[in-house]
Amino acid sequence: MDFAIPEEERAFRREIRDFLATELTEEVVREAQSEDRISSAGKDFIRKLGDRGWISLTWPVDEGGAGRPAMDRFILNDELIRAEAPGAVGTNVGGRIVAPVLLLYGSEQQKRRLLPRIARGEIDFALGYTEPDAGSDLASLQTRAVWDGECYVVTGQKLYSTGAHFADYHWLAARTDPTQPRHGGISLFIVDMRSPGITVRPLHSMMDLRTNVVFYDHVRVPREALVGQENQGFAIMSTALSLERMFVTGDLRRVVEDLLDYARRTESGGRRLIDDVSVRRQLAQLATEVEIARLFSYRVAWQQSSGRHPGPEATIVKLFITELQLRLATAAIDLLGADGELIYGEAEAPLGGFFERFYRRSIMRTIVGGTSEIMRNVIAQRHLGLPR
Amino acid sequence: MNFAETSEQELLRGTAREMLSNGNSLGLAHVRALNDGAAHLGVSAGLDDVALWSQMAELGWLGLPFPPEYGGAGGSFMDLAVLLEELGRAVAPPAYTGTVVVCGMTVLHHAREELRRRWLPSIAEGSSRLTLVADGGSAVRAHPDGGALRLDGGVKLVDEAQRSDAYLVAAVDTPEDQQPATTLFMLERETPGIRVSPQRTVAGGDRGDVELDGVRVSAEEMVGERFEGASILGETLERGAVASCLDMVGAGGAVLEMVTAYVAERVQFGRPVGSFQAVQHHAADMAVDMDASRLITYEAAWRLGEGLDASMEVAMAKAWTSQAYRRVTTLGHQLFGGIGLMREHDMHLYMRRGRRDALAFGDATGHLDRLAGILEERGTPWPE
Ligand SMILES: Cc1cc2nc3c(=O)[nH]c(=O)nc-3n(C[C@H](O)[C@H](O)[C@H](O)COP(=O)(O)OP(=O)(O)OC[C@H]3O[C@@H](n4cnc5c(N)ncnc54)[C@H](O)[C@@H]3O)c2cc1C
Repeated sequence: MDFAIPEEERAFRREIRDFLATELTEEVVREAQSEDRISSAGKDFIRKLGDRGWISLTWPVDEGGAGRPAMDRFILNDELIRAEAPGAVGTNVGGRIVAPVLLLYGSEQQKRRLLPRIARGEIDFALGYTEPDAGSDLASLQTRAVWDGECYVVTGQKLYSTGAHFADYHWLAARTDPTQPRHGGISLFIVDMRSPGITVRPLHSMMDLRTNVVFYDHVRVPREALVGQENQGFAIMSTALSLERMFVTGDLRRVVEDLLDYARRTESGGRRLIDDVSVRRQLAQLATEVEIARLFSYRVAWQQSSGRHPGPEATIVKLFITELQLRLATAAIDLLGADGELIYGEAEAPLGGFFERFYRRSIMRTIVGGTSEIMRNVIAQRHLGLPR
Repeated sequence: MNFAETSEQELLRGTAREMLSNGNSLGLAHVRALNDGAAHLGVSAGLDDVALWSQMAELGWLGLPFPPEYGGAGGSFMDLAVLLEELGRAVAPPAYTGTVVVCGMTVLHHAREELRRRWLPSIAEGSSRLTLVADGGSAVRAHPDGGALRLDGGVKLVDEAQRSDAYLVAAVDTPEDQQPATTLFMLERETPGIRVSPQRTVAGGDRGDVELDGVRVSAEEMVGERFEGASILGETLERGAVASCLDMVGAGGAVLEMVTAYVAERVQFGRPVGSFQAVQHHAADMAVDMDASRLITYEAAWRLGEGLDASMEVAMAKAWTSQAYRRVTTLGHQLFGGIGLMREHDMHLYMRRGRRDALAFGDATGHLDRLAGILEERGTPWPE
């Protein structure tokens, strides 16, 4: 084992920071963290990522990428998330999730048509998996895609489709064969969001992040939109979900640093917070856990970079990081005392209310993208081999 | 970063695991008897690990981190880490850490040539055991006595207190008109004025209070320069802390495996108890706890091996692993039900070991406090 960070990785980190210092304006950050997540400034920023070749960083050279190892994408995501920039979460679904899947399963035509535009940051996607009656149990999804001889005709409803209001395409999971057992009859499609019959309605969340319901009413989807084989969708979705599981800790490390800083300069009852033994221990404990999270996340990036397939490690990362974030956020608002109640954006709120909103957003993370309970099931059954 | 072990390390792990597994004289069955004797009959009985010790010498383990000129195998600290983890897995008698990792390596790095020649080959061939007599506080004091020095004081619950051939003693030694400093001495067991009172502890083994009463020492016995023992002791304690973490990492891995195998087979209500989700989620949490312990511990070990400042990582590793190992053994007991409470079952050996390892070389709270001091000073755990 070797825990050293090679100079070339450090250099890439510096290069990203230099880029962010000039390109990541306050406006872009505000927009990226806003309810709607993205509009013109954010889209410009994503295009600049594309101009640098950073969206297609890890794609093979003959597919228009830079052929860099997954570690570089990890470092990029880590820095983006640390800086609250768009491109790492909630946005750039095309670059982060769709493109790697297309490289594995996409048709030549799909790759030719979509990859260059994804790489340039011109188009984005929204994920359409969850339905009212299919959350953790995705295999029970009911949206139907029926082949009528010319087209698939899609009818159904997708819930919590984040980014569907600005996405150009929907990455849609729908049932093509209702006679097959649950996992068997599902296919994946790339659907143009402008297709007649699609309606997007906002869902406003307590995290101040918009998500959506997407209604499909006899939407006609061409054969070319099918990704991979018909009824192969669940396997492709699993691959996509595991790609999504590249977790970074840039945001958590920053919060630990902000907390330390806050505790060092804030007085309460005549002494600094950091001089209180329970505060000291709690900060030390959280710093330890974030360091562990950092190692967990690096391990997955290393596996992906060196051609190993993250199995249980990727599940452990999701579980550990999201639960840690909640502990960290809870500690942060507790440290603020009564001021912790001041809402994000309130002038008097410490750090502009960052911790307050961080707490609300942390509650979401142990749910979205696979709940903690599902992660524990997976660890117990697939990793430890316990019987179902 | 690279999370893979070298092929030598894989080989060493394989050999160690085989040698320490059941059915071997070095193995768990033997260890079990030793531990059982030590835990229940008191330190005077059942402590014959001489056979085990000489086999460890034959395998080259006792000299693993020493250079060949001192009879060692020239292994790296990461090699040593692998062995320590495997010893923990088998809850092997704990003398190895004190003799080789704590005292042996301090002699190697800081003692004069004569002392190195005196002790290292003898450790490697299995004829000498060493232990640390230090509590991080000011329990032993050095006083000028004519031209020489006199040591007075005592340290409680020293490892291998009776069986050790020599003690590495840390004494508070105050230069005239200056702040107290530390000086280290290597004292043979028979040195007049040293008294040992055995103590029975939950983890068993040869523990005891070591008292020094007017022990006269000379410059020959010093390890490192006079008044310069604090940094050497700090380094020694860091190695000890990491060795304890590795012990828990190995032991916790074994607990997880035992528990997983058991709940997959034990049937109640017509199905394996391991199919109940409450049980599965406990097992998953145990797996995450041990995986985390392993990574943070190996990071600390790597830094020590590279000679980098490891103060922060060691504190993190010891704080976290001590807590995590306790959670894992507690859940382990829960999932075994009644059988795990029986003395014929191994589970209690692992619980007992945790009581010892969690306290050895600083407990979780102490390390968190130390870490907090470092964080306050540096402002971040992650300087660029
Ligand atoms: C803000 C937000 C954004 C999202 N973005 C997207 C998106 O862009 N695209 C998309 O497709 N989806 C998205 N989702 C959906 C998200 O992935 C699901 O909410 C999540 O998978 C959980 O499904 P559910 O909400 O239906 O909860 P349920 O599955 O109904 O779970 C309810 C509770 O039951 C527990 N539970 C369920 N099954 C089990 C089991 N087998 N064992 C033990 N416990 C179990 C869960 O852990 C949970 O505690 C988003 C959700 C949110 C809140």
